[in-house]
Amino acid sequence: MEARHKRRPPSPDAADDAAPPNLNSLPTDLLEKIVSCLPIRDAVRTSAVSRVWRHLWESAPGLALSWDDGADPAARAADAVLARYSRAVCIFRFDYLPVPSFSHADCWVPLLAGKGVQALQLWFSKARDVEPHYMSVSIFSCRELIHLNLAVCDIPAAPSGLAGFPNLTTLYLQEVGFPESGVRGLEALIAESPLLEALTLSNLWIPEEEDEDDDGDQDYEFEAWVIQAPNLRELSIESEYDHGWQIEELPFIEQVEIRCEISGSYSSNRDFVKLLTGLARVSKLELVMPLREDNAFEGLSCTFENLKDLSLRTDFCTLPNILSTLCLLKNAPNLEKLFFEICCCNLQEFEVGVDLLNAEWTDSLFANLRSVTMELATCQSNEMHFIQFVLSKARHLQEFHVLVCEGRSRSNEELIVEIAKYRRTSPEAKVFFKTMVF
Amino acid sequence: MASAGSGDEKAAAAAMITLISSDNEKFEVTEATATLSQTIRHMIEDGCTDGGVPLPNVTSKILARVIEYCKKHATAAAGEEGSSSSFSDAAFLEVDRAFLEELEEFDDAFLEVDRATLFDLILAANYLDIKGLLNLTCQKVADSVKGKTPEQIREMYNIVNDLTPEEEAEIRRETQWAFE
Repeated sequence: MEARHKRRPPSPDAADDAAPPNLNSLPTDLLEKIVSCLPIRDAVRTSAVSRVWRHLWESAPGLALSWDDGADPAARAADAVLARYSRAVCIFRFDYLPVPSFSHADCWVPLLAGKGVQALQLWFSKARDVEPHYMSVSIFSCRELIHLNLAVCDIPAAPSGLAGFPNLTTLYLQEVGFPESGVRGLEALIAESPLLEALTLSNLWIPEEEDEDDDGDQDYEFEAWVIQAPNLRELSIESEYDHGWQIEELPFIEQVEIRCEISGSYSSNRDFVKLLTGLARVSKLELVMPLREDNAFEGLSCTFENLKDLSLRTDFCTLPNILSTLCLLKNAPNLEKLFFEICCCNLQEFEVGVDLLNAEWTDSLFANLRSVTMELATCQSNEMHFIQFVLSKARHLQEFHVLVCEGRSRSNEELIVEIAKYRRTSPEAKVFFKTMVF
Repeated sequence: MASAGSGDEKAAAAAMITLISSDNEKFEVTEATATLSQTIRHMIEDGCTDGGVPLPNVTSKILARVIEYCKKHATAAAGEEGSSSSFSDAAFLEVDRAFLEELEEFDDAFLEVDRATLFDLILAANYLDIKGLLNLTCQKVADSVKGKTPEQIREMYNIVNDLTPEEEAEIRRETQWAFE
């Protein structure tokens, strides 16, 4: 119901009470402000409302120049908008720029640099048989950038002295390559963006070292490089390969996700104790456990005082895996929420009985644990022992969710009966049992 | 932040500010409520709020609404600064979320006004420099024109089309993509 037929209620200072309110009575800067709240198409369309409105959008401060439909007319629209918009650009975003329109981006980036763009998101469509787009080197001239979000493109080497961005707080790179500068370019991009608070590196294309080992085998080793970001709060790394990144101490780190497609893709010489020590202040951690012959966290001495929420992708098939998991848990006395994604294809190699788990128990283990979820559980005996162990030790446990994958050897009934027999030290502990259906 | 009071007798009342509307109505508000307005904050900092703050551009009807908004949001701001140590983080987040939801409901209800009042609120928020209120009210107008044609916007807001047919055709041609 439109309100325009309503009469304006009496108001002591208004002489023209009878007239419906005319939007044009607002001063131009407020009309600009209203236009700046609109999506770009709506904002541009207001230019046909009346003469006052004709150029409003061109000077509306903070207008979001944003396209997500990715069609070619949208790319041409972005050309036209950038040519006419006269203010500093707060946000420029184009998602899924189609292959035939890639070249438009080469015109946008220098223009955006000139207009002091603060938030830039450019996602190129991924196309088979087409080389990734080479980003214009003007990207490094966007000195005002606060947020940079790029997907599916190659970044050229930075001009001297312009490797990073002085105001950048968020950097998101997905399927981005550094063919000229390699990891050093990425390292410098991060290190020379000193205000960086959130960093996401997702499936980057990093040229690997052309080293062959003594046997002549191709070894997927990358040269070591360091993520230097003293203000980092959030770090997310997702990758099929271990690109050799290391971290320096991150004193403000809060959330970390380290996901590898398969845990075996970590470099064999990665030092996990050093990695975890650097993340000691984290409150939320998601980690794919490395597959090692021995406990990868042996000797871990730091305490994760802030860690409340831990997700691990692992299995309970080998002793080293179980010991690594316990090692981490023992050093996280304030952990409240624990999530396991079980690599359910693996078969148990070695039975780890409850006695061995009990021998690992310390006072701080599970001291504040409230909730455990085991997803894709196979319910092989080691997992059952672990469930039994947690239920018997976690004094404040409220819920334990077992989400079993299909194709186990034992029936649900059998498993439920067994779990029901386990002693629960927490009076509030409830166990939820569910089959995952795909 | 500088205090409004200059003498001893002011100390007790230092946290209260008197706002005077264009029709001479007086409103007593706490400093925390008043300073959501940057304009008033600067006046307090300059020590020129003795005897009340005259606001010749704001009627009592609109000022009452603006104060209602500021009271609610000043509480919210105080809540954010409040001690998080008394809660565990998770509990604090819960409280935070409930509070934000309540605030959102308040804002939605607050905006249930006729257009004339909405415009007056925009003008008052602009004059008093209350960023949150200005954003909220401008967004409300923007939401009402979203998805509308220029004709619909003109009709809705009593705007006379002073573009010649040629000009209008030119605009539509230049930015055809926005009209499709």
